[in-house]
Amino acid sequence: MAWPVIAGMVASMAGGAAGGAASNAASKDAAKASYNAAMQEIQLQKWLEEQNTARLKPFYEQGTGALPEMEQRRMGTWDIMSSPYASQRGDMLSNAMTEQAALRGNESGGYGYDQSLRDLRSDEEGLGYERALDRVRIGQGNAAQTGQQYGKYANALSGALQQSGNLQGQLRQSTANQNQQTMGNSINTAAGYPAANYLYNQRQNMMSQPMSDPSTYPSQNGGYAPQRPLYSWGN
Amino acid sequence: MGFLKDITSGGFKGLIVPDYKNKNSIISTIADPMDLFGSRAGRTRDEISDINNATLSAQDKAQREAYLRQLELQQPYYDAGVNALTQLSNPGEMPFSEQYQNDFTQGTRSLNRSLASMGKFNSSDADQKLGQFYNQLSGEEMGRRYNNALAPIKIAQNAMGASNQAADTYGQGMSSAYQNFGTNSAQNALSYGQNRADTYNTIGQSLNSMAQYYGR
Repeated sequence: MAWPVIAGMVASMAGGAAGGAASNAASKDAAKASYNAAMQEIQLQKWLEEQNTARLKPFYEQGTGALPEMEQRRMGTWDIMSSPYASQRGDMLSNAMTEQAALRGNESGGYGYDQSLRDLRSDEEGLGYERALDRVRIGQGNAAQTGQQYGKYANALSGALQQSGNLQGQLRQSTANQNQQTMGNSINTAAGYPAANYLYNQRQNMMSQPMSDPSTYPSQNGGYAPQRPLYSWGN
Repeated sequence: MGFLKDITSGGFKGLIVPDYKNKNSIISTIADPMDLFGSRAGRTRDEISDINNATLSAQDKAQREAYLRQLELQQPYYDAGVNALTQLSNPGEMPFSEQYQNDFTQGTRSLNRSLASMGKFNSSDADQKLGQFYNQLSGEEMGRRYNNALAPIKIAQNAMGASNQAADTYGQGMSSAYQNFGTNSAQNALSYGQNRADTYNTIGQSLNSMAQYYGR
């Protein structure tokens, strides 16, 4: 093969390779840009989730703190007077009865105090359980909100990574296709040269030869076409 | 052929062209022509990148301000709820209400007068009635403290709901913004690379045509 042919192939392939390399580098940049955007979004979503969780935390802990009390009350093992409400009521009752007993010259409230204390315990048994349930509900409601927020963060995380992954996949596929096409086109162009050169030489040879015998022209041989080369003239 | 190996392995450092003046060497290598043809495409890419960054930054600023403003608006209600949590757990630290003090004073006085009028001022019956009265009063007072603490907590929960909604709005808005930013940035980089690739291909084809013409 003549050197210009080789040089032409080399030039075309070099262009194709350089084009492929440029496209490949750009695709990597594009994939990196997409990935970075996804990471930034994830950081924002995580920050929002942490903000919300921090705000919900005191309410959540109120609920978890009340869970043991609720359970013990349910099982009947809770010390009713250990509740701050019952304890405070007990103090109020005791102080008032002691004050009145002193007014009457007695040492204590006696039977009246004991009876009232039993009533108080009975009262607080029901009230305390309801209050413990209320506190648990406060925490549970906030747990639901925290969970929802975390779910949104997880969704965003998943969506961002999926978006980035899809884009990176498309870019890599696009790059592969483009590399294949550019190299293929280059090789095809270069490979087409010998064929074109061959046709060109054939045409030159034919042009230098005399035409066929004029007696074979259609007007003189009954309409038959003159003999012509079977190949194309090319250009 | 070493140069072909370099090309196909991606080790290309410059453009390989036919050497028309020296038939023995066949080819020669010149520097990357894109480096010689200036960096206009690079500047355009950078300008688009700046626009993308500025757009994202503006969107984030607007969304963040809206979110923080909502937090600021809800903060007093949130704080009231958090403070009420302490009151809910420590009812003994709250002062006696005016209602309790009035009921205590007037109720005790009325009961004592009533008992005295019946000659039962210093009797077990008096202890029982006073005990029932004080028990009732303490229950009412503790009920008030509990409900007074619970109300701000529910308000704070609503405030947190509003804050969470604002966070959702911010997050969703920026999710779209980041997706657009990523897509636009990727497209920008890809267009830049595509243009370079097209230019390289054109140069290669031109050189190929030159070689063919020379061969004739």
